Amino acid sequence: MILAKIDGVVVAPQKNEHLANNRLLIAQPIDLKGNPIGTSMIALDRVDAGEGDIVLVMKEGGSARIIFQNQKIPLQCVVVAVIDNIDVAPQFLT
Amino acid sequence: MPFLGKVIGTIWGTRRYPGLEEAKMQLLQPIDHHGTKKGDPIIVVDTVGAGPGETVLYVTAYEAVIPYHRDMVPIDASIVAIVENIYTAETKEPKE
Repeated sequence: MILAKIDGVVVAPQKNEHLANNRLLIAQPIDLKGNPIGTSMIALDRVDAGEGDIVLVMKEGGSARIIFQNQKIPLQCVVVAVIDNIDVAPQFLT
Repeated sequence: MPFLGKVIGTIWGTRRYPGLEEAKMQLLQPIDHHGTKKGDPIIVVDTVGAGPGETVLYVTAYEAVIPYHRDMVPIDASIVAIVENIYTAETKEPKE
């Protein structure tokens, strides 16, 4: 799982039938200080996350199929938690 | 792994591996949510009927075979949704 910040929402009415009735969020991976790293990815929402939230993103298809209890869901990224606080020892933040 | 892309063309090939005969293959440029190009174009199998110029959502690896109507077919990327709008904090307005 990785830390990411929700940057926005993707609207896609025409999609695979197994992806229907789910929100698609833009998740931007961040480091421990909150700086963006790498390319944004599109993740399905499982925890009612919103724009600006720091979340945990599961970046693996097998886990996504377990979460949705659906072997036919073509999905690689799921938002599985909303982060309230991160406590890191200061020496690791430099 | 960006997952967003823009369809930029179609690929044709007559002689194919068994199972791939009905696959509609398209050329896709991966992008991020600002519309910036990310990496080189890839070939994807289209399962939702996207056309050139459209922004789409795609998956790679094992998940790419799932939307296809046959099992055990060699596909490593496929389109699963057509994007209508992208809403972000900066744009506030609908963006292509």
